Amino acid sequence: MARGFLFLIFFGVSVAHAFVEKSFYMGISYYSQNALGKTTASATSAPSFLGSPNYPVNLKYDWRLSLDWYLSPQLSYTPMARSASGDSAKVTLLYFVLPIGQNLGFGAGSHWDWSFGPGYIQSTIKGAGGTTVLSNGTGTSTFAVPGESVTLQTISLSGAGAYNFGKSRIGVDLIFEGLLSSKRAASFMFSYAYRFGGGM
Amino acid sequence: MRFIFVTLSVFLPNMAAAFTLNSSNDSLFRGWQNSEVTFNVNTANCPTGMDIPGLIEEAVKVWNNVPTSRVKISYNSSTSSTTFASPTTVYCETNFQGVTGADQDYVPAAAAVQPSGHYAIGGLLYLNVSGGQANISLYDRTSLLVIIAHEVGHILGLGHSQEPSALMYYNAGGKQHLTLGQDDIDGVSYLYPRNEFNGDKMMGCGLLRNSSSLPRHPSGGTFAMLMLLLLLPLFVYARLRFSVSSFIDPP
Ligand SMILES: [Zn+2]
Repeated sequence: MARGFLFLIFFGVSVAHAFVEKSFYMGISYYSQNALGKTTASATSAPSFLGSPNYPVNLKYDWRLSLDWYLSPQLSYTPMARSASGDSAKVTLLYFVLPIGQNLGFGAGSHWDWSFGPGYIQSTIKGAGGTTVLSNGTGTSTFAVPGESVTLQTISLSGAGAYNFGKSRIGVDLIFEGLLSSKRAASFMFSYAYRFGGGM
Repeated sequence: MRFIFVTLSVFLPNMAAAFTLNSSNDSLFRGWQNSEVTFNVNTANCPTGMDIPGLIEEAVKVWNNVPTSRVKISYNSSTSSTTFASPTTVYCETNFQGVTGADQDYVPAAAAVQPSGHYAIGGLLYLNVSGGQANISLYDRTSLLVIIAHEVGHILGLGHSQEPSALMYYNAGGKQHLTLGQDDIDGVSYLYPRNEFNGDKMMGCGLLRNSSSLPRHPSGGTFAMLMLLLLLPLFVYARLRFSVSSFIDPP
């Protein structure tokens, strides 16, 4: 009796909230890589708040683990590689995160969720090859343009929060690489996704 | 949706990956085969009171701190070498213009590597201590760090970048901070890629594989273990919450 009552409450809560059991999300995002002062975007080399922009497509799925915890794997990939004005290399980004998270607050009025977990980041730098002529201050020099394709793999730890309304979800992920060392870098991802399935 | 598109267009600068290699013709140049790159300093002609080894140790940090690169750069020892060597020779050159061909009034330092196959096997970094206006003793500490870090970039195997924000841009004159651009990060990551599934320490540390008393785990297993360690407390917490809720629920 008690458990049945609890289940009903839980079900009522879950459908009105952010994580929704067995629902699938698809969306787009702005992924600011090496942000929060790790890099510069100015000629004075002043550290920048924003990092380098990437525009991944996101896929996400929610599984209920327990009363109010969810496992919510999310895959992001940049269909358009980050590219050069000189086109010396193209950089693609793949980010997979396996967070567990919780809906925030109670009742139908709450739209917020939060999550955190480990992730995997893979970048591919594909050089264009050939040579290019660049200034060296007092004249010009010919430089070789990278000609190989190189893969980088790092482990990340991230925390995220999102606001949900109707079938839309707007989220912010804070993603750390090299968390336990001086290599530490923070990136953030600002995303919009649309929910398919899982009820209202 | 309109909100999102407005936001994206605001964030859309023309980001370039414009780094090049320190070679005039070899697109397959890979820098040093060993990702631990070291420097020996010949202080014979260096300005008195200028701690060149200390400046090198300070300047290389920006390269060492790139999360997606495994490169590890350090000062090694003093040397009497004045030419290409491994570790790279750093030498204060009085006849800077005559030896490098670079204008001693504009160029404070120059660096070159000796290639063999697609790898660097020797390096030489000249600091300008000539009578010219670009003598290193005429620069402040921040500028010296920027200059040295830029030359270290050449020793690592990078050429110039066409991005003004990059440390590897040919003109360091406007730089007031020692900060890498994404272009520099792409460059050093390309030459010395970090792969935390293939030997490089996870999350930049020796968390699960640095202990000599433990057998080396395969890195895939290390990853799984780390995930488990992260998820376990959460599962326990979730179970606990569930049982407490059940317990306090009135019969
Ligand atoms: Zn240069």
